[in-house]
Amino acid sequence: MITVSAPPPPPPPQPQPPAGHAAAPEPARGRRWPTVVTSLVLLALLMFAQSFRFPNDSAVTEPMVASGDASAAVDAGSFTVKVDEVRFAKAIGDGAEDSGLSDFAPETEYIEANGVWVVVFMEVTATEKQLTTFESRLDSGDENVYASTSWLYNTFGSVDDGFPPGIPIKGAAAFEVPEKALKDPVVQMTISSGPGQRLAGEAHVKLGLSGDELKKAIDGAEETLDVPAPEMQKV
Amino acid sequence: MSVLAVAVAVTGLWAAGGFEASKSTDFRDVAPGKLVRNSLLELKLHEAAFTQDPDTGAHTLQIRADIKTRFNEPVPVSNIGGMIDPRFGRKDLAATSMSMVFTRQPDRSVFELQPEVNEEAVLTWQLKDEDPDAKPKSAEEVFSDEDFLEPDDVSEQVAQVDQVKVTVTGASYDAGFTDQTKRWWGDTNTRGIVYLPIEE
Repeated sequence: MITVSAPPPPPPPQPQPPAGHAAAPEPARGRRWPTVVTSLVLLALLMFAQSFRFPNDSAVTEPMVASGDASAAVDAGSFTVKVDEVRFAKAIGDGAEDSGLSDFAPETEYIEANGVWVVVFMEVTATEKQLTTFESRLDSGDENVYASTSWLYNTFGSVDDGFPPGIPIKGAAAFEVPEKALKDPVVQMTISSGPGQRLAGEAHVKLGLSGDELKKAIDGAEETLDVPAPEMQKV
Repeated sequence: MSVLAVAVAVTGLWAAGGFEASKSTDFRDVAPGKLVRNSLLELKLHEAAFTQDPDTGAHTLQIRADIKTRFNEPVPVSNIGGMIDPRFGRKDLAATSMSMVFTRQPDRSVFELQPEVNEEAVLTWQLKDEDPDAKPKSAEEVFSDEDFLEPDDVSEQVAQVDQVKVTVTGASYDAGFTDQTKRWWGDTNTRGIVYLPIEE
């Protein structure tokens, strides 16, 4: 059987390009430039945001720093700290407990500073859980950072500390610093549970001592200073 | 005329020993009490002596030194031990695990050196009856040793030694093996060699 197929219908007439054919892409390009600009801006923002990426694993778990000054308690998350007093001394020793037995306590052995002792008295309260390891340093304000002394028993951080949550503890940390290095000291502390400082809180407290005031404090350093043992406070 | 001047100059140089073969290690030798420095430390080693711990009877090497770090943070003494290497030139006497006290507080151990503070210190090493170049013992070897808590009796070796060669190495501030926290390490460069006579 032969079927004669009908010839295909002629293609529909192409719509005639408008008269201004050569100028046609112009409006299209005109509509595209905001997209291009937006893309470039977003790309730039993306690259900028990349720079905020944590550089390495240990940086992710490093202590987060809460800064403040001695006028109010500084909240470092896992603990709060309030600097009560800063005293300067030429020699420090472990103060004996003031009790009926203190007459029988061995005489306090004072340690002279190579420089001056900066003794920072503070009140520390753990907020969530028992914290055990207190570490502190003193940024002298003159580029150098000094470790707290481990020569006394009574200072925070020298023997096993315990910071039960919710109970304020008054105590002190002592730093041996050359007088001329002191410019605008900031005490830095981390309190963690167990070894290492992963995810610990860190507080930086500006002591607010500089210039003439600081010089007067250093010149007026006490001859000897008894550092008392840490003491729990009534809540 | 100028030829004569050159000849005289060369002869003068020869007469002064200018053409002797140089020994590259000579300049590393440092006299006792003279400054040795690397990128962390400024160190002057003054004198050495053998002593015995009054409690344990362990033999120790003690060196009196002026020491100062040039870093802006406290540096643990344990990081410095690897930069100061005392040797006695024998295979049966080694000095290990350095500890430190300051002469102003001889009864209190020092665990950290404060930045840029000059201190006079006594560095103390335990003396062991072992090859200083031997590999560290495995745990089994250490614990199979019946009296591993007893200090080695090195009195015989100590009696024969009258000098210690202390090599001070370079220092670098790098991350270690376990994590990216940086600390100070000794390196393989020699910054100074100090020969100290050992006082009886």
